[in-house]
Amino acid sequence: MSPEQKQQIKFVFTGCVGAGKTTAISIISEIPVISTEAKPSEASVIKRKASTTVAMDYGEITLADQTKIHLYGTPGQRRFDFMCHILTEGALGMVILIDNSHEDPLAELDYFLNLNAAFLQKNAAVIGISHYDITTEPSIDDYYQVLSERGDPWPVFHVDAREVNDVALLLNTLVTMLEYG
Amino acid sequence: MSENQLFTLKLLGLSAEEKQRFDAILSLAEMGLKQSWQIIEQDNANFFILSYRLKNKLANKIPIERCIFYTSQTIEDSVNILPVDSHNTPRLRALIELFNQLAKQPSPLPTETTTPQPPTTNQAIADKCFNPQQGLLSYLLKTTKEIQRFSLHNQENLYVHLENKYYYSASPLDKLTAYFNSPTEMQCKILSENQFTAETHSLSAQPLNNLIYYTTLNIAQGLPPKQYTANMIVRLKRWPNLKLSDCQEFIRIATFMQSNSTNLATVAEKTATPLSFVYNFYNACQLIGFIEYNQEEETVFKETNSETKSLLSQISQRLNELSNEK
Repeated sequence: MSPEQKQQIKFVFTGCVGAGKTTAISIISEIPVISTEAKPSEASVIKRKASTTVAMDYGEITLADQTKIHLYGTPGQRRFDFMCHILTEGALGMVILIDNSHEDPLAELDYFLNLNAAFLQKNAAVIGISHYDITTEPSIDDYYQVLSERGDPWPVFHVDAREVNDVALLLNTLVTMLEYG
Repeated sequence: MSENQLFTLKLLGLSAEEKQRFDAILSLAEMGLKQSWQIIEQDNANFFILSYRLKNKLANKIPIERCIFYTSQTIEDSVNILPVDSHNTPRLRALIELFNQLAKQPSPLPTETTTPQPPTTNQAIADKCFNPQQGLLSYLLKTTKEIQRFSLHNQENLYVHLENKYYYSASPLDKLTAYFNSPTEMQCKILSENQFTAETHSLSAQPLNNLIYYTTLNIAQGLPPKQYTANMIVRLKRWPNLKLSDCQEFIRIATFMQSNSTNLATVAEKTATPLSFVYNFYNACQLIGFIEYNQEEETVFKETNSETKSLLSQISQRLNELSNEK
């Protein structure tokens, strides 16, 4: 890893509106998360949330040697999709969070995999399924079926974005994939 | 040197379904039985299992000391009685007690005595392999459509719906470990669909694969799989549920095994993991169908330099610290 790369060790959290991207970064970040929340404008989002990320979220983890790990969260609204391409520039890996209580979560996974296809050709991803406590349909097997049909090898975990252990598991898996994947 | 005896049983008058249940209970009982018991079809069995209703009818045909009469009634009789439930499923504890008692008595027929011999190479290998046909696991791997309730003193019940491939319990998996070695006190009962619905209405369905995976990890003892050969090329088709308690150590093995088709010794070497861990992980994934076998190796070993390794290790360490701190 070059010094330039080491300067910008970053992981990106992406996924659908309400999946818990901001929450996940907040729970693991050592600094208060810098968020750009606003009232949502897309009709489908207004139904789900009072406020939503419009540009990005940002959090940090600092290693013992003061190296910073940058954590970026993308906006969930479709009209801000261009931010994904900006934020994933130089990232080491991606966490895709999908809200299992969304009206079509499998299609959402497909959408975000397509949106980030170029990034994922060269980099790793893990899939976190949130709100699994609200509904277990579709099941984890259904998500693996979507991935299998696409030929994608990514691991899928059901997670609670409010639980630091769950978020750390996602990031730890990504880190392991960088070394052994 | 103690002798290991094999006793044979012939089931008379039981339906196919009842035979399956008997077989299941016998598998569960293995841990508590002091000798080996096997169901056979031939007439030269050591013992015959039959309904108590047939006692007088068959009295002249089979020596009474070789009969084990099953009944759901409480009966005072000096013959061998095996208590069963209303579906003719034997009571586990009663079966173990009766069979151990029968095994101590003078043999009613010449039994197939197997005085321990020096093991052949193949036998020695087989003895040191993981055998999934044991205890609770052997039941979970059955292809029947039973619904079973397992219960143990001071433990939440465990319900297994084989047809739907779900299990149910008020306890999380890591609190169910008392069941994994099928202790002799464990009670099992076949439930009807109605009984099952009534007893599990407040419990959420969990994938049976998780229970099989976790049980295997707990009982495999680092033994190599059956029919294992050192040049067997394997790949992980998909990830098991690594979020299960105590399973996070397997992330590295899973990552490597999904990216590479290779033998298990190479997996252990490249991931710097003890081979026994790799065996456990393989055994657990194999039983839930997540392993594929290939003819040739396909490897994409990454040569990560030491600086990157160190950085990734630091990130991982920090993440673990944050997990523990918050």
